[in-house]
Amino acid sequence: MEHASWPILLLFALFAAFVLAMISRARRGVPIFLRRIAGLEVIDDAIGRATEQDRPIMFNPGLDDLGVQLFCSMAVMGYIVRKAARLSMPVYVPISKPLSYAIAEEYWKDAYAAVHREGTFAVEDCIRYLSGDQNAFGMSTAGWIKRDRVGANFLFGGYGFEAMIIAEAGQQAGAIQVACTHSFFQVPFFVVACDYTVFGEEFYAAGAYFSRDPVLTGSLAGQDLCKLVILLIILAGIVSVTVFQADWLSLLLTW
Amino acid sequence: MSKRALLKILAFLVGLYFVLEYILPEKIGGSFDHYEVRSPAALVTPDGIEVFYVGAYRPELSAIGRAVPSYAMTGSWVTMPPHPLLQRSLFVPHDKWGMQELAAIARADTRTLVYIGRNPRREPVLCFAVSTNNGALFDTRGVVVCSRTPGQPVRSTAREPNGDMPGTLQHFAAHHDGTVWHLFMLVAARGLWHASGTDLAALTLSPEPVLPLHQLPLGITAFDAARTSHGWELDFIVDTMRVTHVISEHFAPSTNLVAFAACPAGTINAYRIVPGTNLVVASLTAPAPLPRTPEQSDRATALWLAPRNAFADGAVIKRPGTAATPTYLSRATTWAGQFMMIVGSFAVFMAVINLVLFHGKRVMQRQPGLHNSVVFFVFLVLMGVCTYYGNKPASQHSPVTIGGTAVISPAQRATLIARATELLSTVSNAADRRLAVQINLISAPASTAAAPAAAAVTVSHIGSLPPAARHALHDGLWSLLVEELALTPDRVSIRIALDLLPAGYDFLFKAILVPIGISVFSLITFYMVSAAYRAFKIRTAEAALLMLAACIVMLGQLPLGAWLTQPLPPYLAWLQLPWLAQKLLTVINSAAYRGVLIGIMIGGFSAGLRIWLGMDDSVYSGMEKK
Repeated sequence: MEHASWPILLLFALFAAFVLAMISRARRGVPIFLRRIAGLEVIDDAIGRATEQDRPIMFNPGLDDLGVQLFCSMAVMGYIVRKAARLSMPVYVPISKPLSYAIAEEYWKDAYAAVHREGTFAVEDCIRYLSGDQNAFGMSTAGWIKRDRVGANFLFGGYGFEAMIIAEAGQQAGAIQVACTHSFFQVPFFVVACDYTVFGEEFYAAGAYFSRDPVLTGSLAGQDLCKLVILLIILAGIVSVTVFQADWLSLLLTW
Repeated sequence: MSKRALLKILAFLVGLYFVLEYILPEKIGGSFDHYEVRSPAALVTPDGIEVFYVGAYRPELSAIGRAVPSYAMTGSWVTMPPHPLLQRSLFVPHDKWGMQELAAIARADTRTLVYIGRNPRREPVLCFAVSTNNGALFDTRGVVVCSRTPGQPVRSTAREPNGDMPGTLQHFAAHHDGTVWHLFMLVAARGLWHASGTDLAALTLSPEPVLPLHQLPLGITAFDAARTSHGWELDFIVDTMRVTHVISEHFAPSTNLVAFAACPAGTINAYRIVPGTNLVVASLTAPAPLPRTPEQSDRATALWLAPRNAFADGAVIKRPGTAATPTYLSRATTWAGQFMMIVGSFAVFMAVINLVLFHGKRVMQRQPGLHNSVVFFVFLVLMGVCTYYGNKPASQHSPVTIGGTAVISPAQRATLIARATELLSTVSNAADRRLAVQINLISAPASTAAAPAAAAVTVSHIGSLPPAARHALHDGLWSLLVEELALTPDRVSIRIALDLLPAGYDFLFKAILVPIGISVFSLITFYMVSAAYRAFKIRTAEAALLMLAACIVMLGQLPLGAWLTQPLPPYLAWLQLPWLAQKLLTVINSAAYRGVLIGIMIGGFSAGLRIWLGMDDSVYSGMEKK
């Protein structure tokens, strides 16, 4: 375990205070502005387009195992599945981790049940554990996309090199593709192969974007304050090194 | 209590555990050097001898400490409570993965530590840290930079942090004569190089190795240099022996070679001469009775101080610090790990059930793609059986059978085992060490032990035998049984058979799974070309920018790029393609990457906080409906 130095610990406490304060503010009804994210705006259109073409929808949570990222992508999956369920459309979910399988199944069933469409599709047909191996997972998903001619492909999660295989398969199948990932090094592949790409912190904002839950929107505002603090620290570091020729900041943070 | 509330409490407790573990290190770990102590370096001070060393908290986490501040004044060691003086840096990449080797130099109140750090690519980087207050705080850090051209210092870059290093650094020795730094660097497959200069960040490297590879002893595990009236004395530790080269000030060829018996107490991993004395400090890996922590398994290290010419007269001066004390937190780690393992096992079971259900339905209903499902079942069963048997102890296989009903005595049986083992080891394929690993003699029941036993030999054998080895094995066993043990030929039969199950596992894995994986990975190249073709169509300003950046980076990585822009005059040097590519990657791209990374980390932190405090209801989606 990497242990915190006291300045880092204080910084974390400050960040937590910012996030909690902004959540409290949002709960009191203070409106929080969320900027428009094109990649998330288009999700409804993509579902509608797949429905018009009578082609299934795929939601791919990537290689994420049990963790914060998986829950973030599951929140988006819940939204997409509910939307698709209202239109009686199947949502396919390829899974690469056994624990993710159990969680995705719960979210998937809950979403269909929420719009009273439980039992419309068989779980084992729509949610499939493919493989933990990246090669096998990538190829199985690509094959699934091509065989079933998926109409809308949502890639939300962490990916490795199989990102390219999956996204290209979707592109070749003519699916509208939205990728949202926290795996920085896969972003270029998604940018060239998908119609819309969302990355970085927007991955964590996706849940708030759809639900407009004050807890989620408030925490987004809190994150902005945290980034402001980091920006100030960076500026202070630049000034101390450039003007005073001293790396006080590193010393302070490692103290 | 509702299920949702229970889960929120559980999530809070788990999160609380991680927070406590993060902020309360002393509650769960022992001293920072409790895994091992290594790489000592000593200094003579007015108070005695100071010993700096690298201590490891875990195999991958190390820090530099100073636990033995004085000796000789009182005649006994005064051991300070171990604490790290210099921790690996999380902010600069030079020693992000810990420290490996150390040298200490004192000048007035200044202490300089030169050490080998590991960068994020785990490559060795020669670093230094300077303290201007007697070693209380090392507030200046940097990397040693060497240039091949005198008077033309080079810059440290992410790819070449030490400048013009001739290769991968293995060991080094550092010396300061009051004005000039002298560094000897043992470079892998190249030899020993010398660098000197007044500034550690701008040293000049010798044009050629001062001791080329063929003049160095083989198997060097450590070395150091000392300046004497004869010139430089270079002590190389080879196994537990010390070999000393004495070379002149001007690095003339080796003038003297002395070998000493070094240390009977263990293997020397690091070795430093104490400047100005006839003492050395060394790091030893020694067998018991040195104290061990649970993590130490086969490692037990200690620091050893001894006269240089009578190494065996030395003594252990520092051992690994106190081990971690089990607390509720560390016990909780074990429980949590076991719990996750159980949950994970159930999850794997569920996942396999899901696969079987899907493919079973397809087979039963004869749906399209039936053949894929059949292949799935065939390989599921095949791999399961082969894995189960392939991982069984070797003694349970019977691939090579020397059968028959030959009757041999117990003495003959012992001879047979010894000779057959020897014979089999000669035909073993070195690439597959599981071949011919064990011989079992199936003897008669114990009640008839005194009587001659009916015998058969089974030999474990995984993987295929080359034809020549099969013939050699057959002939050798025949000769052993018939000619040396005088068994009747008609009562001896030799059958060499391939052990199908373990070999099948190897075949499925090495001949099917791995090549398929490589093929799939190779497909990415074609996908990338097709995607790049689409992306690089210049339709918008952004696409044009992308194309331009891609061209610069690609050309900058190739000799062609350097060739194209080489004729540019010096004042247009900033247009050199390799320079531009480097700047694009290390400045613009890195800045964007770090910005995105900061956003991701804060997003993760915020999401984690919401989940920990039970505020994020999307995590507990639909739980109340159950």
